[in-house]
Amino acid sequence: MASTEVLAPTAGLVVKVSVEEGATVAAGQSIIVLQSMKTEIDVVADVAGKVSKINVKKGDEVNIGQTVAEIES
Amino acid sequence: MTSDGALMEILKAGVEATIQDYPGRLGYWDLGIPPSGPLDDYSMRLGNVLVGNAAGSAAIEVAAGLFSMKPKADTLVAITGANMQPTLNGQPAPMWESFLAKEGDVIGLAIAKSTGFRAYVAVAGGIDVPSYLGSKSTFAAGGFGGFEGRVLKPGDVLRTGQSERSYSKQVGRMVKEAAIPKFANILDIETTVGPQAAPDFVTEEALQSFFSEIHKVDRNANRLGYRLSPRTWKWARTDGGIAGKHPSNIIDNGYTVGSVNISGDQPIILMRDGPSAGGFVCICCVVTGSLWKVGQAAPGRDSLKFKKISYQEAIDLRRGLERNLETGVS
Repeated sequence: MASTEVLAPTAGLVVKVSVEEGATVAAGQSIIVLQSMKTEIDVVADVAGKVSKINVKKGDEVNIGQTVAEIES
Repeated sequence: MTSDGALMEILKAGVEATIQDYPGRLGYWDLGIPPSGPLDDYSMRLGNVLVGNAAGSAAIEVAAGLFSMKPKADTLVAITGANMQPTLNGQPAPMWESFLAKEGDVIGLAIAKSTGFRAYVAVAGGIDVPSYLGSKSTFAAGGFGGFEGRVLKPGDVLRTGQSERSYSKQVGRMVKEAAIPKFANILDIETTVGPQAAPDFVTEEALQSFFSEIHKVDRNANRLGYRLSPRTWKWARTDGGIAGKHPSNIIDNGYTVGSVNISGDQPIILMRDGPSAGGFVCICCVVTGSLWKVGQAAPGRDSLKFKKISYQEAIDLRRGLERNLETGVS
């Protein structure tokens, strides 16, 4: 079992957390939605697996490269 | 071998990947059509020179990262701009150097972890998309230009143009160390003062304050405008006269790309997709030779410090970049 980090590609405001801890996700599925650069950005799972950790909640500000979630696959 | 219109498939399109060329869509400013083009024109042009293209050829601008593509035929590629840990089939790929990607290889960009915000992927032959109003640049807000007038999406297939030169002469060309741009989390941005500065619109003291401060780039900075943190201003007038109630109001006039526009309390640097005219003061203007640095500031992370320079210094700065494009590539 490998653990993959889901990283924020830009600084931004978390406007939506799309899944819960424990959820099974497919590759490409939305994990969180960030507001940045006056647009909404879907931060997706790179790999299929189970969301083992979600580190942010709606309303949080994140930095570039911050780990927003972890997926076990 | 030469390029003969090779296809490339976009696998991941990241946050904002668009086709841009340089100098972009010129000649329509009076109709409100902006030039568009690369926010770091210097890095993009270096990439084109590396793969043997004319410096202004169409290339891919990748903001923030999370991008990958797969050539369907052997393609000569160069990656310039921000370091997003580029990979070729999962192994580190070079930056500031042309390399051959074979059919089926995957070129990937992760994220701009430390400095910079935009990377450029140049391919031999340029990106072959229709020219609209004289340019291949994308104006996504207007829905025209580039690839279907929008940001790239997974599944898009791009075609490279015809390359006139053979790859063997171009593989392994490198940008000389002295010509490689240096990015930073606090960037020094050269400007010329005006057209609406001191003493007529802001006080001398206010202008000096502005130039001495470090300005954080707002997380909503984008290709239309780079918003900076709002700050208080000491205005020379109490209102805008017939132009309006606020002292930042002026009768609508034409703007220039790079103007530092003060709308109420908020400074916004007008960028390549920005408005051509409006009714707010512009206290200084980022010079052509410095605009690329603004394009490499990450929204919500990096900051800018503005410098006043003369008209002649501005010309010299631009000429310096052009000299590097001619002699800075081995």
